[in-house]
Amino acid sequence: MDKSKKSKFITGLVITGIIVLLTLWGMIKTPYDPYAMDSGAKFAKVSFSHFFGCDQFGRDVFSRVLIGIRETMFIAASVVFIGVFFGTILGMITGYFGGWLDEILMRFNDAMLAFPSILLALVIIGIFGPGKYQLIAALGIAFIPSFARVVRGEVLKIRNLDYVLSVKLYGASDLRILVVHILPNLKTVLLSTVIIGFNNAVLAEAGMSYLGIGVQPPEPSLGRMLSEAQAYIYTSPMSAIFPGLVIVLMILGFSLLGDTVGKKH
Amino acid sequence: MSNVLEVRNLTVEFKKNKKPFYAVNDVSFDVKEGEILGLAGESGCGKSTLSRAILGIQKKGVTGEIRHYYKRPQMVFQDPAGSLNPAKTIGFILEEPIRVRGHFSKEERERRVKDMLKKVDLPEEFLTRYPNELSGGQRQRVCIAASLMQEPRFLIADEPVSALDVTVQKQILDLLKKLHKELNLSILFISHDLRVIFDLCDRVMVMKSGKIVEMGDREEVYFHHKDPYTAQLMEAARTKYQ
Amino acid sequence: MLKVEDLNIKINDRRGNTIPVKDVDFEMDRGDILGIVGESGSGKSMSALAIAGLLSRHDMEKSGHIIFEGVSLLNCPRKVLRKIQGYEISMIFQEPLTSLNPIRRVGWQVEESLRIHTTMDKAERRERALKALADVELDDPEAVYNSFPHELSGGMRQRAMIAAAMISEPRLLIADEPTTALDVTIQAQIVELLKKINRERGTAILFISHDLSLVNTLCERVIVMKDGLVVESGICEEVFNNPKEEYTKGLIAAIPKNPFSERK
Repeated sequence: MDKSKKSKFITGLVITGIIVLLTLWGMIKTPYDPYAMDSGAKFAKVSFSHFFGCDQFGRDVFSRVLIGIRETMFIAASVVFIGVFFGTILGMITGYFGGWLDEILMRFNDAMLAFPSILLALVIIGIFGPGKYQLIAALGIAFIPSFARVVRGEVLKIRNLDYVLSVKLYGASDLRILVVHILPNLKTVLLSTVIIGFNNAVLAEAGMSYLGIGVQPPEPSLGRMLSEAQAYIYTSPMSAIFPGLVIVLMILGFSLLGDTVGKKH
Repeated sequence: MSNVLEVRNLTVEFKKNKKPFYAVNDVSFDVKEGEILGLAGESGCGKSTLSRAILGIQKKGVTGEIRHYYKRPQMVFQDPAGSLNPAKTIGFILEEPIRVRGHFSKEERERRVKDMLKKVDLPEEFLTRYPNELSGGQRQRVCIAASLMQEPRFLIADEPVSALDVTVQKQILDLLKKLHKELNLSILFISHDLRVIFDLCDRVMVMKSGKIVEMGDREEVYFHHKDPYTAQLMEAARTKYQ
Repeated sequence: MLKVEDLNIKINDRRGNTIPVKDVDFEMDRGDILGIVGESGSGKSMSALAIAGLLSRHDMEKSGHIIFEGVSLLNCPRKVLRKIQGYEISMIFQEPLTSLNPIRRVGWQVEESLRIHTTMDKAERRERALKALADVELDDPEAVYNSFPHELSGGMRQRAMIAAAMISEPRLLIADEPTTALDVTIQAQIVELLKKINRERGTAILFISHDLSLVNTLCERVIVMKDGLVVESGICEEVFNNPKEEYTKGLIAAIPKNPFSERK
């Protein structure tokens, strides 16, 4: 690794490390009850007792950010998991077998890709109603096509390589060829798409919750907090700035990591 | 002498801009038991398509008769980098052909893998290595070893030494000769290098534009050919290798 | 004309230090044909690229001298190099498909050197390009001039590449494995063409190849390289008939037996 790459990697690692630590902190304990309202502390300024100040209900913003990170991470990770899991299966089957199945699924895929994934998620939420799990399902489904496409492209390349042909000649089953011989070689391309996907999922969650159709109040998520703080942006800018800053850091950290991981090979 | 392979009127048709294109055009030949049959031809003449059709990797557009007398013919490919799975160890790659057949116990499989490694003159440490840690020649040895794990009687070698340096080339050819003798293998050896074919093969076929234009004993094809294209090919080789 | 002295190339990258070229010395006169022979990783291509001035990686250290017609080329400013590159020293590569730009017509690419180095107008350039294409024995120069690289066969593309390299009438032509990707019948023709160019125009040719027999048919002198070092050099026939070094002996022994040599 050359120097610029190394420093990128380390910066990314430090930032992501901080986010992960904050997530863990939020899982164990928060300084204040994130739901407890304290009318005396309404719009409290940044101080040692309230690191990030308080919001319009006097709730500690730092505690809410901690819970918010946890929520956002959970949602983003679940979305990416759904996208990768089904996307990989779909991409492997269509890429490997080809033919009419590929034709039908990929045309359907293209149609889905033609919509912005947020719009698609909006439609799904329109059907199932708002809420955290509905959001995960909606975004997860919306993310499948892009993963499927990447995996399919890679499988198309690999399936004609001589080592796959050799294994075919040994008489191995298609399932075995796919799982044992092709899947491990998707690792690199999957890793970089997962990281990009994760960033998109963080942004999508923030966007959806901002629109009020994701995580429902009083539960905080970073997007939800931004949306709530918007009305008071002039009286108390801090309650909008901190969640926003965390979103930026999250994405920056993963992008830096993704850059170095993706280009290694 | 009996045959290991009989090919009759084999044609492989591709559609190229809606016009039919015959990559292999009405080809018939036999491979006899224990012989090395050379297939010479220039790029694009259809040698690789022919070998793929024989092994059933190419199925689309194939007509004619292909008759194998032994099960599971195997193939050694040109590019030793592409014919080994980069994510697997050499041990895994060598075990795979017998693992998928499922006949042997774990111990028996390991014993056979070690035996084969010895046959192709590679040290046992290679079992835990990955393909990218090996040189081109070593990789090609692994490919040959893997292709022999199922104890095939018939092997197709498609330009197995073309991607290698001369000194390595010689070692691999010597290895193929040795294995041919020890295992009584029949080999269809595909190459564009007429010296290599002459050195290795008993009989030779010359292919051009999907057709076999000349076939016969080595001496006959090289020095008493009837076909004008064969003559052109031999003349080019003669000036080049003088 | 060309003098290479103590050429060393060091690469420092993530895998540590490697020295692909060590203390390489040789000289070429006008009209010489010199072959450099070696296996992959011997440093033969790297040396050729250094002479053509095409090695400029940041993780690379070059030392020694490359003197062409009295001008030192190694580590010289890009400005000096540009005057010589593609004009007095031309290069052709192994893979004619990738060494031609797929979206430009062949004629445009053949003229490129004139466009850069001379003030000729369009008609003059075209005339010169057609002549160059005819000189490399392409049957229909006009048609080749107007076609795209993918419309030509491998042999024709390599001829077009040679035309592009020769249009400026360089004093030195560096040919890096120019026939390796071609069929035997075409290989023989390209070698004949290079011989003719050398004979008729006196262009010196530095011919890089892994194929000893090919070098033997074309070159007068040969350098054998291994692991970045020159292990043996001399007149082709002498080196081939009486190799002194073990490595050269092994290399020659490894050449597949020539079925045509015993008979006429």
